[in-house]
Amino acid sequence: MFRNLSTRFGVALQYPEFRRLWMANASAQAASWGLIVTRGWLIYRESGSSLYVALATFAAMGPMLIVPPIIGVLADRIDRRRILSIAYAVDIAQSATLMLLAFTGVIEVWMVVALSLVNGVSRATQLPTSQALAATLVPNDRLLNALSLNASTQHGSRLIGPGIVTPLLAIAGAPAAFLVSVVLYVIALYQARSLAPQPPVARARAGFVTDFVQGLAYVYERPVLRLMLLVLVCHCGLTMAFESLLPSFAHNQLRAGDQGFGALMMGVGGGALIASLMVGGLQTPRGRGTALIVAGIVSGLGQVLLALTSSLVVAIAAAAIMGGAQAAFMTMGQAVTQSIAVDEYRGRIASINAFSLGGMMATMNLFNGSLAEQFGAQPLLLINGVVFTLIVLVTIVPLTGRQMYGRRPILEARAA
Amino acid sequence: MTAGPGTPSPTPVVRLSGGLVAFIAVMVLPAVVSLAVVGGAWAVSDEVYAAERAASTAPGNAAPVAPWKTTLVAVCPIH
Repeated sequence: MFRNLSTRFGVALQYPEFRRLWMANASAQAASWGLIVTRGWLIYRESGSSLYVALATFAAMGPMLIVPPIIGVLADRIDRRRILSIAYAVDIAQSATLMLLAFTGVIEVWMVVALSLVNGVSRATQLPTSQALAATLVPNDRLLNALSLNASTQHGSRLIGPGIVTPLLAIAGAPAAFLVSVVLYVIALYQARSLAPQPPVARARAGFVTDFVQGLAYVYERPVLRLMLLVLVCHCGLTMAFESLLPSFAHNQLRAGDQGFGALMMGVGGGALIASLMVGGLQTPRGRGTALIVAGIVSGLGQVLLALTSSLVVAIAAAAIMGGAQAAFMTMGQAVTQSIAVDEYRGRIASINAFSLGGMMATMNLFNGSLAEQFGAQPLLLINGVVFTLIVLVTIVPLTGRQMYGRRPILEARAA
Repeated sequence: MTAGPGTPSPTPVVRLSGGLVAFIAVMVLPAVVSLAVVGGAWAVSDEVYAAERAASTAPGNAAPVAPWKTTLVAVCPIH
């Protein structure tokens, strides 16, 4: 039975090269989340200021809005394995520096913020590069499984990284917690170095901006790819930009305070972890298409259910459903985009995924947060959920939509 | 015909149609907006905080701050 389950849900791990990449990703993600917790703990202890904690977190996340276009172009020009190895080496250096600074007691808040920025640039390099690399290490019909394993690693590492460092912080302090991150990054580097070289497709070079615009034009000229990315952007803007709404929703509608907010976030994370593993078991294009439609609709309606309840238990269940559907929709959507693209564009397409979707989420979080002050979180959750559900239903109708949802073959697929 | 191994494939020519420009705007603008909000809030936050402090200590003498600056600082997640 276990063999059947591992064959179905972990089939991409049968490919040794992908298995190495997956282990590198898992180690690096756990290290990264461990760093986020340790840095936050250390900064708050040193300064007593939540603002500095937020600043360090932004320094670690902000590069996701700047770096991917550059990395996407690079990932289509030079060996992706080399880019990943450099990024992991940079992370070993920055987390070892943090460890030494904390151990010697000379650490100051500005140093932690500066090194958070280095970690952020490195992380913004790793995510699109490993997504593009995964697509080259498994056959196209295993791509969804590979990306679902990567996605479940991302969600699982939010539990594993902090789960390892939190008790260490209490027992041995920040240097020991930073040491865990160093060790995890060393494992990631070792795995990345074990990958066979991935020479890029030979092609004429243009400037960076021209190359990036060519990536966008490549997407634009392929209707299914274009529609998929536009629907993913809508999904990020309408259903995934909820983080700025949940604190006020937990306080005002659920009357559950910070603990209620924490429980909702755990619901979202738990649902995402389970769903991202589950979608890896989908085997036929039609089955994947149906699951994409269902995940899109449930992603919108889960948010509607969340908006309508005032019971904390129902809200946590709705958050888990919503988180699961969102993770499934994103994983399947990214698998569609990577499976349509030819290899010489995969780096740029992964970077467009990271840059545009991250940008939309950040902007809509800002927008939602300010609107919630005036109108409350409930109507925003409700309206956004309904609008996204309608978008999914409308996109089923045209031929391009039916191709995207696996109802018709994609004729332009893999055409350069 | 496809290019052989090691032979650079030609650089595709990008024709900037209205549709492509709109598509690029949809894909790029959200990231630009969020960076502009954070950068803008960074630039005006000292002025807004100073006005808030002045308003709380001496309400009559507080220098007025443009409402857009206050809004910008309010919506920025790190201020």
